[in-house]
Amino acid sequence: MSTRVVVGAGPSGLGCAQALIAHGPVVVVDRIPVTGGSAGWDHPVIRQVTRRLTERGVEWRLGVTAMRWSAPELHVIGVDGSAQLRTDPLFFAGGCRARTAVECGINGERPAGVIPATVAEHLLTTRQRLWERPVVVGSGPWADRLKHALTDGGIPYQQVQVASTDQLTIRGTERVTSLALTSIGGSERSIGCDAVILADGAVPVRNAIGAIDDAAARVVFVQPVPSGDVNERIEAGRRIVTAWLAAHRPGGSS
Amino acid sequence: MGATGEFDVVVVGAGVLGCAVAARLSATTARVCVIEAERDVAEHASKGNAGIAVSYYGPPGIQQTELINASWPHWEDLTGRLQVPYRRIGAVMVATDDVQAERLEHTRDEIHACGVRAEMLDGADARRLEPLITPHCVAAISMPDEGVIDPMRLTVAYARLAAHNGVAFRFGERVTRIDHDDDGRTSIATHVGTRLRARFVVNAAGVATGVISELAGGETLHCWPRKGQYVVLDRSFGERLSKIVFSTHLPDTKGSNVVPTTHGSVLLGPTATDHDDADDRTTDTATITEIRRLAALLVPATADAPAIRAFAANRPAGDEAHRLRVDTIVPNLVHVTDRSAGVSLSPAAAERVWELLRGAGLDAREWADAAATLPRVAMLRTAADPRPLIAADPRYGQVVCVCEQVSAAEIDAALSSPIPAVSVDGVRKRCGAMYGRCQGALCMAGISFMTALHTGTGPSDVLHTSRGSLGSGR
Repeated sequence: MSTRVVVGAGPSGLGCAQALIAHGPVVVVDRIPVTGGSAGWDHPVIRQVTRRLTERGVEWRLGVTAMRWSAPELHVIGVDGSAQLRTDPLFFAGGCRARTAVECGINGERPAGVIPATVAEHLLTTRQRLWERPVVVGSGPWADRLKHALTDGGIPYQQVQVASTDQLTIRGTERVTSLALTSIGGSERSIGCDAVILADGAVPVRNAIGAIDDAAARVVFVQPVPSGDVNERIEAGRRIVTAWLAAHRPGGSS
Repeated sequence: MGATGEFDVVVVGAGVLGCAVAARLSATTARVCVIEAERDVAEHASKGNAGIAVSYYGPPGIQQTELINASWPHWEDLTGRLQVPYRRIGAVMVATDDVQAERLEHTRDEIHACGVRAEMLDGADARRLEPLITPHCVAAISMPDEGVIDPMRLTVAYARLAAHNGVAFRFGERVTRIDHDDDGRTSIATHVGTRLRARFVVNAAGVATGVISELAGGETLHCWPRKGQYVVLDRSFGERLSKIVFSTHLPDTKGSNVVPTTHGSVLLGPTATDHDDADDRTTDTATITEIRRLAALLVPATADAPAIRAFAANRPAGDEAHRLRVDTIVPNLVHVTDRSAGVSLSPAAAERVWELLRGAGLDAREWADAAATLPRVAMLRTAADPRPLIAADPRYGQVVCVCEQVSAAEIDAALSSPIPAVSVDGVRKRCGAMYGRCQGALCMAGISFMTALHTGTGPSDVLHTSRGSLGSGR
């Protein structure tokens, strides 16, 4: 049984490893030196699942970044050097991110204080009072997480949806001062703010050259939209790979 | 109480032209100080352009063309010495109807009259050269000497070389007074109380050229911002495009272009809108849509390529599109401005300013021991083999910006080299981190932390852009 490589040691990647380890050796690669991804390395479920996978023989290559996929070789690098890992297919569980300003159709200036949700979330863990009246743009997993984090931090916020009916425009030269919403009819309302947090939707992260497009050769993308529950996210990753295994059983339906 | 100092030359403005002048003068015995209103170099037109190092821009016989001609053959040498990404990939100017095709004949003749290579092609040959060119191309000009360059890294490199050779830089200082003293020197004061005296002043202030000239009692120079909006396409599309694609130059406009960048992305644009607010760098949906529509006329495949960013920058437009001369009223004031080709003519413009200053009485000579090269900062993304880089410095194995494959070693260099980044955006300008498709979603937290460490700030007051912090407290 040949080794299979999973990129991503977050919940989805851990789920991949759970599904694959019963069928042969598994290597999990992640550029972050700990498991857990956006769920956090110290989440009890993450720690338990990681421990269990280690016991079952998963090889961890953490602090190692997947750079290029040229089937069946994955080129990775880390502080110790570089390596080519053979796998077929590659299981890419690189996680998701919120949409960028351009993806949301947001226009205007680019002053200080317009920040991706993932970044805002990290900054809020410092427990500093960073903003007085941020606007959370969008809905979805990151919007929910940000609202939670801001509430925990005692920071009042407003939330604005991204909708085709409203053009969002950022105003402010040195730092953001307001977010304007202009309806198709032309009426405009303006929300004063000191930060705009881009938190809409969930877009799969794709950064390994050769494994960018959905149509990339011999890659199984395991990037379900993250739910709020870590167990669900691990299960979602496991389910995708289990289904793939079933469809690609030797002598099976594929 | 601000700083004081006596200099031979004060350069106002640290855009590509001001920094090129500073670099050139740093190889002489002149004592030079650069004053810049923003907190970093390349904060205006010099960071917001298409990154083309042209071989041709306008008709023969004008100074702008002479300076472009004196610059374009030397880019490989200069960028090699300064460690600036540059590729002479060539351009194709495309005509999609007979009116444009006839116009191309004139353009081709003009390019030849400038002494630059250009060859007429039919549509089929154009598409052999660049397969993504529209099937509606009826004629084209091949311009093999056009190249693409990283204008931000070029400006930083000029500044670094200047600083290495002893040029002083003052950032975040706006010139508020210029007085001519009885001893022939000129006093320059800034808004934080700095008072410098210089024998000569070089006005490289871009859109603020008119303001500086007025403060100095020089000519009334009409200058205004000309906004250009741009759209950046993902590098997955950039891999497929090998040539710069120009639209036919028409009498009133140079049109909108499709430009592979040294990052691997593709730039669409620019537009050109004269207005009156130099701080207005807003993008709008209607213009972005139009940019994409025009681009698709040249390269249809751009229509399906994902955009990762849109931005705008103001070019220094004025009653003169190009100005490099001694002021006619104030004999120790030299103006250097170019509306569109600043990057392209920066090497020769710097040389010309040095000549003008000497002609005006600057008592300085060449300094043979000046450095002419910068130390190499290797890029992980373009390294043929990363192993020796990582063996020499393990931080090359720590990929911080995964979209653009920028390592911790390069980010640290951006924060600790001379003319260091002082903001998160400054890191982006120097090493390309956060430039890619996730626009910092994965790496900006780590980079803001590294920036805070280097600048002695915290999560709240670390500078996000050169003008504002991440937190709103400052």
